[in-house]
Amino acid sequence: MDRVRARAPDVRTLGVIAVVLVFAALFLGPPLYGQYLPQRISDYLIFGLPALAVALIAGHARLLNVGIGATFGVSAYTVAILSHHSVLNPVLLMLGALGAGVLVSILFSIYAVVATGLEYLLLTLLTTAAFASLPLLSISLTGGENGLGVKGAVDISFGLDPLQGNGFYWLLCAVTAFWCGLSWYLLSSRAGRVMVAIGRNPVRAAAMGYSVHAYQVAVTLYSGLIAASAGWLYALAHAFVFQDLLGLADSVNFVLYSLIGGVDTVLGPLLGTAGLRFLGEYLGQQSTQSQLYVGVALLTVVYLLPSGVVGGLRQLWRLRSRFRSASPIGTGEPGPVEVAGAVEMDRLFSAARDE
Amino acid sequence: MQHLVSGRSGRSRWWRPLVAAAAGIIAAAACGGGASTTQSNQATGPPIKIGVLDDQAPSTAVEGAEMRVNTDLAIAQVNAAGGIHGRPLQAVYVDPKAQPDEAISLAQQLVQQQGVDVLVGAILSSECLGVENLVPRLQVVYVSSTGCAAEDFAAKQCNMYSFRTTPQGRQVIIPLSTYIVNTYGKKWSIIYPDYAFGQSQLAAYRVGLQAAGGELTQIIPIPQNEPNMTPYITKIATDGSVNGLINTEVAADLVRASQTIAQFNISQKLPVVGVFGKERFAGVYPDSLTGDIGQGPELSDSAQDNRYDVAYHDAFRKQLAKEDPNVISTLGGLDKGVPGGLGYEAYTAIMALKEAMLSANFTGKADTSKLIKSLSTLKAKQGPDFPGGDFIMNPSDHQAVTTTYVVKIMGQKEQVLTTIAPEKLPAIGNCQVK
Repeated sequence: MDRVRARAPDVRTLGVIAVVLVFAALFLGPPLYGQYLPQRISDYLIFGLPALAVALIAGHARLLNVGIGATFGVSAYTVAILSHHSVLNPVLLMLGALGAGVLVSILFSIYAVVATGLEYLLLTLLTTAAFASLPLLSISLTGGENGLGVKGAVDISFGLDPLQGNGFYWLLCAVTAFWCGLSWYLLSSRAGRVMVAIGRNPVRAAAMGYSVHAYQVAVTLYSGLIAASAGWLYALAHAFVFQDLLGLADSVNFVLYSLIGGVDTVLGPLLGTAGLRFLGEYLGQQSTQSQLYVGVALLTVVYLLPSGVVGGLRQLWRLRSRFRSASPIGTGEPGPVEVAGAVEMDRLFSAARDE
Repeated sequence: MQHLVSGRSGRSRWWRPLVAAAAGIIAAAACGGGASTTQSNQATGPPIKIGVLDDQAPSTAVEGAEMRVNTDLAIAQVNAAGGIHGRPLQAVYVDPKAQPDEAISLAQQLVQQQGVDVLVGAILSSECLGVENLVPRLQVVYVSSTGCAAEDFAAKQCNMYSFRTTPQGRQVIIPLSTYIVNTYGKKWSIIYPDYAFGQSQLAAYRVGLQAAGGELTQIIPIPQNEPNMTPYITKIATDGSVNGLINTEVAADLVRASQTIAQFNISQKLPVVGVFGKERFAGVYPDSLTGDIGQGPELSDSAQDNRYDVAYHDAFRKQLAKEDPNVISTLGGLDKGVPGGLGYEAYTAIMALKEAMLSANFTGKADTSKLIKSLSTLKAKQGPDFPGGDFIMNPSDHQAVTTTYVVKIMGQKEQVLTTIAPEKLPAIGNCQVK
């Protein structure tokens, strides 16, 4: 077991190097390549952030929230509505979007306190379905089914044009790097370890004296902030919001993105978003039956890599390390996977308690 | 379908004349028997690219198919006649899947990556309004095609880059209301789908009837996708207190409502005003629609006294035979498919662009301002390019008006009750392009 622990820093070091390389490529690659690539990657990043929010709340905290789309959509609508009421200050718009996202997240936080499991899942699902009808309540305010344009041109995005140049792209990269970095920091902090431990076994965590509800509320608000920032950026980038942004379709997509990339990783949801959206775009140009092929691809990945692409790669790397140090077959000792599971659980609670 | 391919700037373009020549040959072939007479006029220069946002989602299948066939037809005809001063038109199709965010992203991709010179299409109102909002930032001309019925497009959100080539909303409802009030009486009952679209139709008919001196005296909302229409249809007053029924149901709800109306013999007691166009019913009207009155810019079957319309319908059938089997079956097959009003919208979008491009000596996106000027003031008489009737673009809001027909469905035939000249259609609002 000590040897297993000793291997962990290697994986972490490799992970850090990989992440640095990915972000360096992200900041520099598309602008150097030019053409339409920065704008294309911008979309992946915008939709990747809510997927990250899903990963944090569902993958790490094990709260099966399918309402992230509502938070994302409400924030985007807030920007559009405020811009129609002559609020064109970019900072105010950003704060307004984040504030609206937090308000929606407070609702989901209440659900996290009063419900668990399937009940919680249904509450978030039905709430999101209800949110999709909100624009129809006040058509003059929201544009109803027709959607609503965002006013203010580049002034509302700090003078950065989402369609020209690389300024807006770098803003997106910076926001993404900020949320990823903060998420990594939080997940590796004591609070993050407690959160993950609560996700794995809330009864045990409560017995150890941790306030389960407080942590669940905190992670709901935090993931809501990430989704809200994506909604804000979406409104700036596309200058148009519409009813579907609030509905279940986007929420389900965010869940799929994070599942494909790796729901218990930070980088996985972003890569899952890029991969799945690219696949959808590519197949959509090749065939009118693209949804079928996307579905088959999803089934294949979920079946073969239940932890997602990044999670699967990480597991493979760990298994490789553990097989090297595992005891010979036929000794009657538990296999590497069982050992790893037990070690992981024990490590989480130990770390949360010790720090 | 032409697929999007990423290219590198600076790549050799030696192949372009070959592609243009091939496009010319294909275009000539697409015109069938006319090929030999148009050989000398073939367009052979570098192509002018038209990005077409053509939705293939199940909810927009008919509109998407009509847009595809009629856009292909119009482009083939333009190219066979020499293109735009020797340059062929080339369609670059993309499928936004009836998703507004896809439509916006693809529109941006078409312009910035594919280098299209003009944008066309986007069926849903939310899609075309999103694209309309985008094009001033891309500085490219956008012409809506099939669908895009939202009044806001020209009434509230108009801009100098966006154009719509067929009348919509109150432009058609007010003249129709005037006709039915003058013909049948002032008091009307209405059934409408109780969601945003139906509510906007209710508001438009309320305004239209009021303008014509009539009124809605009975209003019956019906939930969307309601399987049992009987409780709602049986509320319709047949005691003489109303002069007619307005039916604004759509899609499957329209068929169910029409069947129930026929079942209770309401269509024999009251005139029923609703949609018309065989293309919405795979080329064959259900019996329950017999007696319904509707209006549109084009008849389902060609008007035999209009040689331009006969030629247009003949060309449509030839073009349909060359299309994808899915498109053909969506429109009811080779023997039943018709362009109808939905197809005519797509056809006139390309033909309006053609006229304006010719007049502006358009060579590409760099000539956008010249194209805007030309398209803003475009007027055309009924002819091969506008077989349904005259065409006038309003330079103030970039909303065109065309000849409109009020018809009565008689089995599989359509009886023209009246023809409304484009000058008689009201403005859609008071938006001024900037």
